[in-house]
Amino acid sequence: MTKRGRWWLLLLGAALILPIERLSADASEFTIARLKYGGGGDWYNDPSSVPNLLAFLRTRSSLATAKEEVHVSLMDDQLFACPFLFMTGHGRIAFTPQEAARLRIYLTSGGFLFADDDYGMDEHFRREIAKVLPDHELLEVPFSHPIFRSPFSFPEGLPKTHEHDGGVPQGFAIFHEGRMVVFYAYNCNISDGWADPEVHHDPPEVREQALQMGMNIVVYALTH
Amino acid sequence: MQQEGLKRLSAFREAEKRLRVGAALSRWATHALLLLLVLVLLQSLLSLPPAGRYLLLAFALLLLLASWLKHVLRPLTDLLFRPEHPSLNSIALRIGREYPQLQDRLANALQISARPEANDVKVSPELIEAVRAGIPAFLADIDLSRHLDRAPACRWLRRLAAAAALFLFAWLLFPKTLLIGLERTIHPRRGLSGQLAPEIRVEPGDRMVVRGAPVTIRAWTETLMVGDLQIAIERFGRRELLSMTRGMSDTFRYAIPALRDSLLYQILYQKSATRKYLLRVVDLPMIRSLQLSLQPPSYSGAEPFLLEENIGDVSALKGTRIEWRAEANKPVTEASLRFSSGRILPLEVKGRQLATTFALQGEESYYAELKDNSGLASENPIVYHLRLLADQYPFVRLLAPSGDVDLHEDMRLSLLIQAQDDYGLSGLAIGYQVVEENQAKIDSSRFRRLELPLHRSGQAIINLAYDWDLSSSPLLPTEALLYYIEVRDNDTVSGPKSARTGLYRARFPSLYELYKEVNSEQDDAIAGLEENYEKGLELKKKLDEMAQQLKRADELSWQKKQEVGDLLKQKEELKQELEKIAGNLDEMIEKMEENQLLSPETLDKYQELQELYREIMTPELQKNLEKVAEAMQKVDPAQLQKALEEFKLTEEALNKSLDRTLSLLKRLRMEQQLDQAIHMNEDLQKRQRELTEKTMQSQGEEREKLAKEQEGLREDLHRMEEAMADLQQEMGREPGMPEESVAAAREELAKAGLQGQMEAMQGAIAQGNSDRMQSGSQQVQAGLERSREQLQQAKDAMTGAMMERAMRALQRGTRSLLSLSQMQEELLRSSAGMPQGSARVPETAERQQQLSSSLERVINDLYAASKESFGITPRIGKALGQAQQAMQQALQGLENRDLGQAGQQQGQAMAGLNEAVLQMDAAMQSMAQGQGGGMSMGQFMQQMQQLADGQQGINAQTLSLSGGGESLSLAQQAAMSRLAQQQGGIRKSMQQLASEAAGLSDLLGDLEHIGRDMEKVEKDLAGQRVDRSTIERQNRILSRMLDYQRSMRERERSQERKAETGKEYHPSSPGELPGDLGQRRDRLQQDLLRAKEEGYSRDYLELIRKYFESLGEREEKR
Repeated sequence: MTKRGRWWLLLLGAALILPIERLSADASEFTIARLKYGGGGDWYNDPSSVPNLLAFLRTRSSLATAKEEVHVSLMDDQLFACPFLFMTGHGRIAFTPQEAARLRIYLTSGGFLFADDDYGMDEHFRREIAKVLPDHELLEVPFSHPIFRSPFSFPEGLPKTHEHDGGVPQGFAIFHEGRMVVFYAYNCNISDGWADPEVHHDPPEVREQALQMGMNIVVYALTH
Repeated sequence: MQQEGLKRLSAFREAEKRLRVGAALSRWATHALLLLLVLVLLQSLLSLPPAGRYLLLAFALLLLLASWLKHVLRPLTDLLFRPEHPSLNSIALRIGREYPQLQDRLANALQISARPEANDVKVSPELIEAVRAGIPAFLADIDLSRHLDRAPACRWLRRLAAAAALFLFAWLLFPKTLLIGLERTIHPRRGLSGQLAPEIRVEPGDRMVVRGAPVTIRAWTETLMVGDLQIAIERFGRRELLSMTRGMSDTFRYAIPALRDSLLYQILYQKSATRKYLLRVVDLPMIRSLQLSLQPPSYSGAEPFLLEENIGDVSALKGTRIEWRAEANKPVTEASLRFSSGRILPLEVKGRQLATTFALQGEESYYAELKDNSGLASENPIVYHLRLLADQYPFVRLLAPSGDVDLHEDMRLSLLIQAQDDYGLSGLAIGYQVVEENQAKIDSSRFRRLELPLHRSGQAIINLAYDWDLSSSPLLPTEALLYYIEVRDNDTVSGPKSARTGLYRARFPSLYELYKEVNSEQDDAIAGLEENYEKGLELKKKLDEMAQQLKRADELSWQKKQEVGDLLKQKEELKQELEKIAGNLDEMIEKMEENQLLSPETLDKYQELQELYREIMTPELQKNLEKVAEAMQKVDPAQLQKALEEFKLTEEALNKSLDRTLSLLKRLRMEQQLDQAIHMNEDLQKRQRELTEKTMQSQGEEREKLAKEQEGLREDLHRMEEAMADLQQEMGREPGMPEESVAAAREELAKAGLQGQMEAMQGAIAQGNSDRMQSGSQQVQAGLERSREQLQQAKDAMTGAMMERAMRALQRGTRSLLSLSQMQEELLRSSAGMPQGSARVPETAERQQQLSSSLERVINDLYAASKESFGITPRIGKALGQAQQAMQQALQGLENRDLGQAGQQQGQAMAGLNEAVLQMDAAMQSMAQGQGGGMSMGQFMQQMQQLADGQQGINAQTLSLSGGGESLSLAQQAAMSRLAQQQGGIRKSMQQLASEAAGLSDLLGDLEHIGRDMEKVEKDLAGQRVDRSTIERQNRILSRMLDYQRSMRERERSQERKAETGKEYHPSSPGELPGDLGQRRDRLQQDLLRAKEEGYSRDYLELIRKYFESLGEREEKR
């Protein structure tokens, strides 16, 4: 390996390690914040899903995770203490102008939002996220993207956890200054696959895939 | 007399001599004792050879003799053999010296009185006699005993006593040493004969010794020894000769601190030796290794595990099985575990292996006791401790709802329960009871239990979302359900421990309460909006005045600045109020949605209204407010005036939006009240039906309660009638409202005489007249249903008319705008090649002005239509606004003869007009789609309703024909056959409906059950065999048909919750991400894409494409 190559390797390693270092320094345990949004949608849907994903992260990686999720609304002071925001639901979402502005600041300042459509959220989510980042387009993410590659490989993109309307699952993202700030899973509902098995009675392999994809998203968000 | 005096003197002399002898003897005895002590000590310590001992003894005897001769011999001789010594005369002289008056007179008298022949001097006998007679007189006053010298005797006696004490003390301290010394003194030659061995005593002799124990070998003899003892030790085939240590009393010792191995030993003295003794080393039985295996109680879910080797302390849960295994250092015959509680647990012994199993029941200590075959028992055992680990109480909390709640229409209570325990949970249950709304005293014995399903027993943490369906509970409106959650852990050893939450209350509000609440909130919202609108108008007026004044002012006075500041402040307050109203509106809509107080169509409209309302608060408004504030800071009247102008425009738009929102809200309220009336009607029908069913199955004691329930229904009917009267009145105030249909619905109620019917039914229930009750119920339901149909017609008419008006306005507007767009294009074309100073410019400006005026008329028309329909979207308004603004600027450009600017703005105006046309077309399509084609869910339900109506009619007629068991007349038989045909017709229609709507829902399978029941009823009717079971079956059919409609409606609403595991898909990857990652995209391209997404027809898309292309080219040229 050339001298330059070694330097790049070192920098890459530091880039991978530093965010995790920062996390462990700021809070002893990583957790996922569930977004409490307005508009009447069931933001609280599937309460067991995030704790299960956290448990999966804890057992499958060296990431120290909390056992429980936290709930934040966009106007909460704690918003900026959460590196990873998760939202899901079946219905309406409405951000007030102030909330949209706050989410914009959060996302452009290093935050990450993962939205998972649990059927019926798509229209509302697209409309509201356009308010948040009007100059940014929601792009469909190709399967070659690292989010589908590491730590688990998904050569055909997002796994299909739940059928709902049928159709192929799609992953969309919004990028800000080259960094993915929003990842939107549509038509697959992977977070339902994180829930306790008795909730949706999904086969173990489907749940495993959903959890693996969840881990991919978290790891990507924390290391990029 | 003389004799007596002499006697006294002689006695004195005797006493004195005895004293001397006593003192001498005491002295000698003292010397003898001390000499003996020294001699004995020397003999003992010096261990002299016999010659030395003899010499020492002789020397001592010589000294003793010398002392005798010197101190005892003479006084003793004097006493024994010399009675006249000393003479009395010398004694008299000695005494006389003591008494001055006496002097030597006594001596003289003694001399004179002595025998005369002994005197040389001639003394007359008379004198002699007289002197003799006088001697007693001399001694008369003298106590001779006072002159005895007792001091030496006493002194030596004391010394003798001290010597004797010393002697005794020495004997006590060193008896052995002194005895030896005495022995050697008495027998100086003893011990030299060579007869040693039999005399040596050895301890411990032959002995078994525990390995590692200390051993001291002692040897001694009763006789005297010259020289030291030695010990010979033999072990491992080697003999070792060692010196023994001499101790006191000629005892010799040899100490072994820890004896490890057996050995032989013998004591040697000079050439003699004792026999060999054996010290045999033995091992005490003891535990060499220990291994404990623990099996925690099964409820803990923990796996069995081994403790580390030789760890005997146990900390575990109560009930843990302990498998105790150990290996002893030698075979044992008997072993047991001894517990501090006194319990003794025998161990199973196999040679050196020991084992037992016991359960951990409490905290105690234990040790193992072993015995080997020679009876040796273990010593100093290790004590181990058993400790209990606590199994904590479980914990449960209700995460949602967080407190007392009102139940919604669906009668479902979504519980989010979190429970946990350190070792696992075995059960989760809800305890509940129905209480009166304000019941203060709770009877805890009335709580019933509902066990909740646990996926797997033994989970340590459970987050359970339980959707509690209370629809079948006997909960009546205004009653409350009191409940708690209880969790049990899986402790099967001490019994499950349980914990429970506090008591929560879920109240079941009546529909009327909910409506009242929502209506009140709605009234508040309308009032708030009206007030805000009024204030907005006032504010605008002030802004106009302010703008006028600023036009005339050269500089900005402090007062003006203050006034502008006040205006801004007022605006800010208004804005906040609007935001507050928005929040209230959101809450109200959410509540209506949760309680299903609205039809889906009305709910959609409310949601559109929410959107519309949100768009009132545009970012421009905030921006303009900031601009005004900035201009005020700069104290520049011109800039402030400009900012105020812009602000005015925004304010005007806001007021218009408010006006529209208000108008729409009022209409919506009307629509909602219609919904409410329909909903109340359906609710009454349902409750009446359920009450009838309950009455049919009721026993005597329940009737009172059911009659009360019937009374409640009558009261609710009254409330519904009142609500309908209010609605009719309100509709009368607004033009184009279907007031007549509402009046007709009220008339239906009045015609059916429902109040009276219900009152009669109340009596029938109390009397247990079920037939009367059933027929009354059917009449009530029929009356209600007719009224409901009228209300439904009113609603359809209302929404249809509104949609028609909006559609017409849109069609009219589209035509006008297309024409305006065309004219604007022509104008643009004609002015494009026009020179700067052309005389046609004013004419062009005039045409532009006309276009602008026409556009304003179209806008006003659309604005009027928008007040009663959501079809006219804000996007249309925005596009029209842009077109209008561009036309104004184009006109300004033409007036200033700036043809470049005018052309550019004319293009913009065209773009705005075209965009508006596109948006309006989309709105029309959307409205048209809303009316739908094919079999929609609405149509399906409508047909189902018709069938249910038919079934209801058949049921009523069947009941009237059943006639209490009497035989049927011919006419009745014919009617019965007709009913059978009708029943068959409904069954076929139902099957037809099921096949037509096959793809609509998977619930259609349920229709088969209804079909089978219908078949049976059909046969009963055809065979004239109508009995109670036929009537019940018919009721069940109707009930199912109506329930089915309800479930379909609910399903439609909650369809989004359906979760079906995904099938396999093999999608292809989308293309690579664009270089700019979507952050800066060409706006025109975006708009084109959006147009495509919105699904316009091919012609429109072509038109749009060309339009955007031309705009793009223009942008490029610029």
